[in-house]
This record gives sequence, C-alpha cells and structure tokens, in this order.
Amino acid sequence: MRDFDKQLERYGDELKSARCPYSDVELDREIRNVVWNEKIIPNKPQARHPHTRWLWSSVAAAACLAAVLIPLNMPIRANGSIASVDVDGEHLYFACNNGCSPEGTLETFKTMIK
Amino acid sequence: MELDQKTFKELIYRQRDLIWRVCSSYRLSAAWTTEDAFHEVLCNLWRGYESFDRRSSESTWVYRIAINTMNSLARKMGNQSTEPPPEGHDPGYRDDDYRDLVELIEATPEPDRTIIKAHAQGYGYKDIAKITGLSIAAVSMRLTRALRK
Repeated sequence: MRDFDKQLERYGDELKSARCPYSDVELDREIRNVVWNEKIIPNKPQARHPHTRWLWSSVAAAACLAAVLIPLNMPIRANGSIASVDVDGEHLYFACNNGCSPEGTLETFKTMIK
Repeated sequence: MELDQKTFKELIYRQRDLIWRVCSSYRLSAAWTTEDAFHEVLCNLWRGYESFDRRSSESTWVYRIAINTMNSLARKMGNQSTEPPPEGHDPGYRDDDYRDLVELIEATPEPDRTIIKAHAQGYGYKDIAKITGLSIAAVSMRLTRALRK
C-alpha cells in the first residue's frame, strides 16, 4: 500500500473514532428537549437550543404576548417551563426546556405578569 | 412513514456516533459548539424523517442529512474551515506528511471534500452518490481527480 493510501486510511480511522459523549439518559433528554419541543413549536430557534441565553428573551416575549392575549380571554397552554412561546390563533403555547411541569410553568408565568 | 417518536429515538441511539462524528469535524464559530450542531442535525433528521424512503441505508441517509446541515451552517457563517483530527502517534507514518494531507483535505472545496471524507471512512461510490446527490460516475470522476491532486 502506498504511503498516501495509508495516510488516507488513517484519516478515515480517526474520523470514525469520534464517539458521541452522551449517555443513553443524556441522549434521551437531548431528544426530548430539542426535537420534541421542535415538533410542538416548529421553526422556533428558542426551542432548538435549550440554553440559558435564550431564556430571558423568551420570557420577555411571552410576557409581551400574554399582555395582549390575556385581556382577550385567549386560553393559555403550557408545555413546561417558559423557554419559547408561540401562538396558533387559539392558544398561547409555551415550550418546556428545563423540566418544570406545565402546571408549574403556567403558575410561574401568571405570577410574573400580575 | 408515520412519525413515530419511538422509532426515531431508536434511530438516533443507533446513529449517535455517526452524527457526532460529522458535527465534531466542523469548526463553525466560537458561538457554536458541537452540541449546538448536534441539536441542529437532530432537528433536521426529525423534519426529514417522514421523507426517508429507505432506498438508501439508514446510516447513509443520516450521514447525508448531517453533512448537508453542517455545510449549510458553514455557508451561513461564511466559514467552511474544519477542525483537523487530533494528531496520532503511529510510528509508521510521517506526521508532517499526514498533517499536510489533512490540511489539504480540509481546504478542498465541496462537494469534493465530502466525497474524500466519505471514501476515507469506507463508503462506496453508490453510497457517496446518495450522500452528495451526485451520480456514481460523477463521484468516481471527482474522487479520482481529487486524489490525484
């Protein structure tokens, strides 16, 4: 085998040696937080990256939306902690990013906007 | 195909190393970690899951989505550079030559870079054609030309 072929083979071996660092539990959490939230609220960048940096801007957005929608008696549904928000014409949705229960999130939110 | 969360989750469990491998081979920007890229690929796999017709193997489909996601992110950021793999310590190789080869591959424009990487990992022409969306003849021609350089 030529030296070049050996080096290319080594390159392929090194590429193949990368391993996902997530345990089964961690991977399950990532899928739940990232993908299922994405399914609930499609095309919302806040739902894709459940990091703190998104949280406060989303809370502010939720508060602004709610200030408009609640006086109109629009029902609110929460899917967890306030990390992103969306409106489908009938409901105000919150996505879960940090594991809080929907009920807890809703109560927290109601307290915030009082 | 019905969007089945359990089946999708099992697919991700099986292919997690492949997804991570693609994500970790790109250096997008300081603000984007491999974890962020991994999330992006997961979302795109879920979005594309319904259209997975199983005409290609599962790993080929996952590889294609991951590569397309990463190339798309790289284009958006105007930075297609990739991070070379860590240096090895195999005494059978001259490391300077190996580093040169890695740099050369990383500097190769798309889609030739993807073709070389897939070839190096053992994918055949047929699979590479499915990954890149090129014909088998085009893959063969591009790979021969790229390796000759």
